[in-house]
Amino acid sequence: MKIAAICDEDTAVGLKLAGVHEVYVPEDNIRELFNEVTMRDDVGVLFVTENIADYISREIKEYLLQQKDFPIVVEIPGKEKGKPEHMDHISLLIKRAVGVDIERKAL
Amino acid sequence: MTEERIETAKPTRMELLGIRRRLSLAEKGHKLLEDKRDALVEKFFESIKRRDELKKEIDELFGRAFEALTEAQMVIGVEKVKAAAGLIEGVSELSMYTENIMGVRVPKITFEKLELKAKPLYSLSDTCAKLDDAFMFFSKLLPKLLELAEIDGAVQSLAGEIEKTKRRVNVLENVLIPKLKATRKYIEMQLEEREREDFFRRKRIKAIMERREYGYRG
Repeated sequence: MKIAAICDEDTAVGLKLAGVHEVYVPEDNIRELFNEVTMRDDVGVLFVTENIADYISREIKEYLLQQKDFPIVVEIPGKEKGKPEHMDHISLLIKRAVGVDIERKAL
Repeated sequence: MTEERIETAKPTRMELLGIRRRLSLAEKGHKLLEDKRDALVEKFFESIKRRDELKKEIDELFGRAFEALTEAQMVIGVEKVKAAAGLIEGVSELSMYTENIMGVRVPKITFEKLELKAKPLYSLSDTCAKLDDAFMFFSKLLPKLLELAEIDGAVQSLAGEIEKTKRRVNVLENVLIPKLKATRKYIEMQLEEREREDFFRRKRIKAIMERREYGYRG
């Protein structure tokens, strides 16, 4: 299966260097792009940079609710450092499942 | 809390036996589900710990990789870096499958030959050493990112399963088992009451009969 990424231009160059198969740099069609890529079944892993993930957080939440096996959506830090209080969706999920925010406590 | 009982249950001995059986089954199930929940939570914490470590590593590596990339862009220009990046052949396709751990689907990614296939294909004379550095860092980053993907997938399905199990444990603990207990108590009391009534009735009848017998004789 393929690796795909949706990210900003600089991160795109970096991920290309790493050998990621398909790198998309969205302009203003982030939602359509995200939905399109997650619908495909030849993509195994989809990387999304934090900034973009914040922008389409609703779509990501909906996608996670579908409990599909593939592709796995992973949030990665982009070139611009995200806000320190940024919570990715898996952390939110952890918080909900356990009841407390253990990630912060452990740090 | 007012105890609710199962309305359809009739106070008969048969029903009581049935309720007792259901109760013992529910209690057994409750214990099993509790054990499952505990095991899942343990695994969950393990995954989270690994995930935290991995995230830190990735953050650091990303920082260094971007530093190198920016330097390369400064030396040979943004466009050239972009062109060089376009020449990189993608890594080999991943093979992914899901493993089943205690009813939880956990994704596994195998990425053999990841390093082998990702060789720099850009021309050496056109680029600079900084680009090689960036290339190296990003290549190192990719396996870590894939591991993170694996863990994220596992954590996600574990979280779903934990919630489901928690809900089931709660239903058994707070609804079904109290309901069954209340019904058992209700039936037992009804039966006892009936027995007492019966006992009293028999005494009365005996007394009446005795009185009649004496009455005829006397």
